[in-house]
Amino acid sequence: MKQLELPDHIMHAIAAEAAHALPAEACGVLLGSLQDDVIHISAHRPVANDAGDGAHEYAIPGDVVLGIQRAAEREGLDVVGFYHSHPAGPAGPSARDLATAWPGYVYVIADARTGGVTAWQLREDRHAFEPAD
Amino acid sequence: MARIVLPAPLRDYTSGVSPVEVAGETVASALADLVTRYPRLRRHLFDDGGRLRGFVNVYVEDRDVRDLDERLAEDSVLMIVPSVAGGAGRPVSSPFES
Repeated sequence: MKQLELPDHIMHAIAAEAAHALPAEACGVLLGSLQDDVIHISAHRPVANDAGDGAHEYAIPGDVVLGIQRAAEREGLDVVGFYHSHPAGPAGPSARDLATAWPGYVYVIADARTGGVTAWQLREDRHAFEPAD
Repeated sequence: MARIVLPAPLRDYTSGVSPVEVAGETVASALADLVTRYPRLRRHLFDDGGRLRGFVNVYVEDRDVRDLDERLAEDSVLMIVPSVAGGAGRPVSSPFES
């Protein structure tokens, strides 16, 4: 697992987005750098939730990820992860979150009820997430 | 040879190399060559049945390619980009269960 550097102001902004998006799930892309064993997050980009049922799921299409990645590269940044909210909590990953994850990215989840924010990384065996810290 | 541009987290499996030069006349064979060169990438790109995982998108010259039998030019540039989805549901792990 990589060490995570997630500034408080970005955590607070994601929690605020989660509350604002209710009853739907908020989602977005995390930008920063991956250096050795450290993921440093320096910016986030909110994205319109592309899921059919935005109250219970979220989706960020590849075209959107690619567009954000291209723009980030012009700023010297990389896509380093993604975030979304759970409108009714908890701020833990679901089975559905596993399917589209890669180790090395960080996945931030906000509990829209409490404002709690957690961060996760996929295990190498793809069977579960580990908390990132 | 065609080249495959990898997203940041997958470069951990190629010792930081990206783009990776690959042999292959089609998208499928180029991807097969990629995971032959870097076997630890395989499980993150392909499922247990050998199918490209649904969230893994391959772009050729900025075009999202769905037909993996599509032929490549000698100097094609492929990009691997994830789409991401999920959402609320029963947690599969917690800091106390992992």
